[in-house]
Amino acid sequence: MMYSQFFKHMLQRDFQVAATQKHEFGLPIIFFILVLVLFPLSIGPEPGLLNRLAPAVGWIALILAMLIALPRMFVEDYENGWLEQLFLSGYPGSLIVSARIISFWALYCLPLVLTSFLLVPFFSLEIKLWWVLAQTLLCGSMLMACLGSVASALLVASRKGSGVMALLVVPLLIPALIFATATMDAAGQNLPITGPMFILMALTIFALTVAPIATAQALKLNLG
Amino acid sequence: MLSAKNLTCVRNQRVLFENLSLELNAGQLMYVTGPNGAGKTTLLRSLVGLNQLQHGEITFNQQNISECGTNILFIGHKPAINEWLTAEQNLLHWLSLTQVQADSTELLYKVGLTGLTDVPVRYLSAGQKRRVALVRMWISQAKIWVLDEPFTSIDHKGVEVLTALFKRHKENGGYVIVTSHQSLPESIVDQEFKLAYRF
Repeated sequence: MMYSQFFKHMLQRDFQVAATQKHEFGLPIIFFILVLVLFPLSIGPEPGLLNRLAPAVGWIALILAMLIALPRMFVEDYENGWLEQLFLSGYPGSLIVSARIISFWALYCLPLVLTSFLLVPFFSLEIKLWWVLAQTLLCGSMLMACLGSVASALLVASRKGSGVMALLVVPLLIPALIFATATMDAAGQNLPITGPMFILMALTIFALTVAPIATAQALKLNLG
Repeated sequence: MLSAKNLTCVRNQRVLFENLSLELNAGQLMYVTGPNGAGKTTLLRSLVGLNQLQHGEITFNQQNISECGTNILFIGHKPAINEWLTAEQNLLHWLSLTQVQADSTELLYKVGLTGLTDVPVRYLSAGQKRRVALVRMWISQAKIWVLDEPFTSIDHKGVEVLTALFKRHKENGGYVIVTSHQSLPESIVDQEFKLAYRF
């Protein structure tokens, strides 16, 4: 089978499995919405303060919501043995992992980024600024999925992933958070955002190139 | 010819086996026996290249085993079945992973799962789940079959069918390596490999 066909089949399987477990897949979104709702309720109706906080709340809520989903990236297929069959099938490990990162991003991160539109009514964020925020979240969530895949692969056999997961992933996300904040600051002052945005994209592309190799190796170690 | 030379495996500071060598020719079945904890599963996983060995090499027709992906059928303790999907969906994923063309309904009929094809696997019994995994032996085009306890949860009739499959695979020049705590009929066993528990 061609690699592209294999890749497509992997994505199809992941979507099919997700469709049978809607509760698992809805949990991070519900958590994300709850955080966005609780903030304005506890801070009070001050539009100036709220819209200044909005990007930070969006980012932190996304990071926390993804920490719920990340430990599940490989656990199920590790436990039922599908992962070892994939590694035996002779396809490159990094291809297997890339497919999983993409499907994870499409299933868990993309809905979160779309849900971040709630910042517009709840935090009286301007739509123009939300659009910039959504772009930083798109890049950032992909970066986090890549970093998380390495952590998830390392912790796949331990079952008690989430606490350690946060310790492994969040510190590595700090550069991304800094450039995302810089992008939002620039957008808020009507300055060009391309500089920090491009660095954020570069970080994401770098992670997308390196993470699958590291993840595949970590999974192999855990299988053996 | 499948050959393993000087395999050594250490697990949890215990030597499971040391300088172990074996050879298997086309059309032969190797029956690996030994008490619990002797390292049967570890040996089988090493033979297919899933385990990292401390020492030794495994080759199939002068080729390293890790390059023989499509030539190996490994069925271990983990069935590689997603319990949320139906038997048919699981089988279809397997077919497209191994690029085999086959009629899934007919295959599931052969293993006695007619009428259960659209039930999520988690509602099936242990034996039925095992059958969903074992379907792979009917359609496998792999030369080397490595089967870890294939008879677990399988009824008498099922065991007979599996033994017949081993026989057919041997006649076609295949290699079978199997562990089991149930005894296999002597007529199909070509080599018996005993692993002892080491302290």
